[in-house]
Amino acid sequence: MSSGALPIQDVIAGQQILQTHRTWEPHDALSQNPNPAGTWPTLMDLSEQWRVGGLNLRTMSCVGCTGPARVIVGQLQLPESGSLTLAGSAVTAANAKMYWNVAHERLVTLSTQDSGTPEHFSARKSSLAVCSDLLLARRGLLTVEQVSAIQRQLQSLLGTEDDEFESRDIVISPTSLDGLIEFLARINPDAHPNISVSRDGRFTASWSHGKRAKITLIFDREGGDWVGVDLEARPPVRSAGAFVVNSLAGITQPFRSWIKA
Amino acid sequence: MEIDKFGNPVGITREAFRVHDDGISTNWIEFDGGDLAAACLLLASVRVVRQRHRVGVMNVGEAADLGKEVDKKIEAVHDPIEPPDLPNPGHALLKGIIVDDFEFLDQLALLVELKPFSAESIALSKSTFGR
Repeated sequence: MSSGALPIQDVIAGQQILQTHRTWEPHDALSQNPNPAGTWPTLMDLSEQWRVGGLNLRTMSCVGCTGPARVIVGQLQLPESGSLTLAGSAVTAANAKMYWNVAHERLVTLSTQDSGTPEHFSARKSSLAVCSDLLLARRGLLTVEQVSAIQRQLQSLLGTEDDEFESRDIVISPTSLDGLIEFLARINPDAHPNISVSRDGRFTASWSHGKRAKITLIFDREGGDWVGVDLEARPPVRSAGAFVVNSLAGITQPFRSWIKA
Repeated sequence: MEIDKFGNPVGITREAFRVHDDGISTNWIEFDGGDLAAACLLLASVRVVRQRHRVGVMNVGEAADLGKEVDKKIEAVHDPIEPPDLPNPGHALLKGIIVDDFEFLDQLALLVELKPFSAESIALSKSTFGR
């Protein structure tokens, strides 16, 4: 368990997933095209941050790496397939995972390998996979029990998302999950919360207090909104407000005590 | 739905309600002398129902009482859906709630108790919708 100083490698690992997830905007097709022979122009080395055609890429450390992974872009086909051809070499690791959120919220997984051989990757990574990877990257912040519980909850919530969330145009927010994880790590609630996903894709955590009383937190990256309802009080009580992930100060009593006495 | 630490559905949020201009879309359990099992079968005939899905059960009297606490008139009205739409003779509307009334919807959500669909319901849905 960790509640104060968070293990830096877990913080960094999670941030890399989140940074790449929110950096990329919808783009136009890549301006470079293959020559008539079907080979690709000179591949570009991404030292810091590049804009290739309509696609932004940048060098970043990778999950499990101790140094930056360098990727070289060859081809991007947009918008629907989201497939990439790339040659890459992770400087310090044979295998690394990175994620680019490309057009239309399509998420592409790039695995660099040390060979430098161009590899073909096709879209798209499921929200369950993205969230599971984020949880894995952040696991050092949480207890084993918390990680196991969140894994089960993610599986139950997102395991069949294809015909549920997508049909309702819900885009799951890993950033929100990261806020939830950080909250659990810093606050260490008395009990593990029930978890849900809001209509705008944000994760929520709730703690019940009896059969008809509940505090619910809706997470953004650094905090979020809270709603407390107590139907067992007379008259029924409902309060709401904002909170930050490293404090319960924004949540009024008695609701705050339902999270941590 | 809210999921507990074991991966089980245990509650709902306000977003589970399908609130339309004319009310919240529901099904009347006791329609035509029926019970929850019959209502589940009816639901399974009009929409996809799966093992992990749950049916939320709410007592209309409790909803009305909750409304009284905040000066809202909550009432249930039988509103059968007929062809050419997919028939749902047990459909009902819970009236007196507007779409953006988050405060009341948060409270209403606490009145809902989740129940599993029967194997018979799931089989009916699968045979009806092919998935």
